[in-house]
Amino acid sequence: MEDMTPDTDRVELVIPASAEYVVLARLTATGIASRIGMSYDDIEDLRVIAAEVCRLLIGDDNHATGTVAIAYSVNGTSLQIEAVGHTSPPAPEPADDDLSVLLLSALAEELDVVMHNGERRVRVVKRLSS
Amino acid sequence: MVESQLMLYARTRDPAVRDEIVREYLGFAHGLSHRYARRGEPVEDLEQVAAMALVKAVDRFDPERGVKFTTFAAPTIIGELKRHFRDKGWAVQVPRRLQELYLELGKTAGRLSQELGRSPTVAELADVVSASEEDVLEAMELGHTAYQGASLNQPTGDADGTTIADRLVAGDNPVEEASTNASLRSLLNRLPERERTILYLRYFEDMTQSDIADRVGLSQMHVSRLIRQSLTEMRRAARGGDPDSDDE
Repeated sequence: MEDMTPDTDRVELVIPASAEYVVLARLTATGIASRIGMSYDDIEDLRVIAAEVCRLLIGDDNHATGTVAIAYSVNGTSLQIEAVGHTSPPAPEPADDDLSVLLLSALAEELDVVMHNGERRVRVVKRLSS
Repeated sequence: MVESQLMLYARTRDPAVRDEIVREYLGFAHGLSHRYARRGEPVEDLEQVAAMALVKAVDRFDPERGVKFTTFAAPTIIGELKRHFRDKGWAVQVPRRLQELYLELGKTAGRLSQELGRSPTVAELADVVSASEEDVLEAMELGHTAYQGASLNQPTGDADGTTIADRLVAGDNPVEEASTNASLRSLLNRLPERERTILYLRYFEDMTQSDIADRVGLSQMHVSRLIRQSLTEMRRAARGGDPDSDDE
């Protein structure tokens, strides 16, 4: 795996677009978070963050088929989770008062949700709180 | 229209209007509390915390600022939910709970293996100990790391911050140093055979405590305790003290 920045560690995970596999996205996130010394509170936030990112891409009703590709990048004291959904049907575009979006906005330092045309992508950054 | 109710409440502070608004958004607040739910916490408690936070949010909301109420309220509600967990000491409780779960898993796995004639699956274990599979996996992981970490780098409790490793052998490579250290070997020889085997596996074979536990047929907790006791005894012996006396 090649990465532009030499001090970025990257972990990639591709899961079936199904609620049962979301636990893997969570465990991976918290495992990495613990590695970079995130606090217990941050890690609990990350559990929610990872789950909500997947939920946005898989959809609430769990009827989609396909995959969700999740890339975790660690850069010093922050963890970025970028997930791309390749599902059929594509996840619906969330309203701005969608619970997942609100949770992610409250818990993560950065949030991009790109859900138009064929693209389904969510990017969040969680920083180590000092 | 909730928006007009919010405007009205901002102007009049009429409790009846507030109640209406709260009723309107209660599902939203509960939804957030469910999504932020952590293990073992009664859902009703979380819903209540979220509902109270919602009331606070309604009180503080300023419709003039042009922010949607849900956007404004979500961080307040999430913040209160997090504070709730913090106040209840979850940061301490959960690792402890997982540690207990880890110990329980060891026993349960042994018992189930005998009953089933094979090693149990995580789903089977989770079922028996009434935990989620995620919890079981996490507990397994935590137990593993915690006990691995608790070996050489554990502080001795001395003011100078020396670790057990510093004490056991003063060198950069404990394994290599130890194997050529005759006095250490003689100290090891004073220990009962089981303890000697465990220390050998831990420091000479560099096995993890959980692997040792499997090998010698004890719980990992037991192995951890034996290692600690053995090291204490060896330290005393090395200082020329009687291994049985309590001369710390």
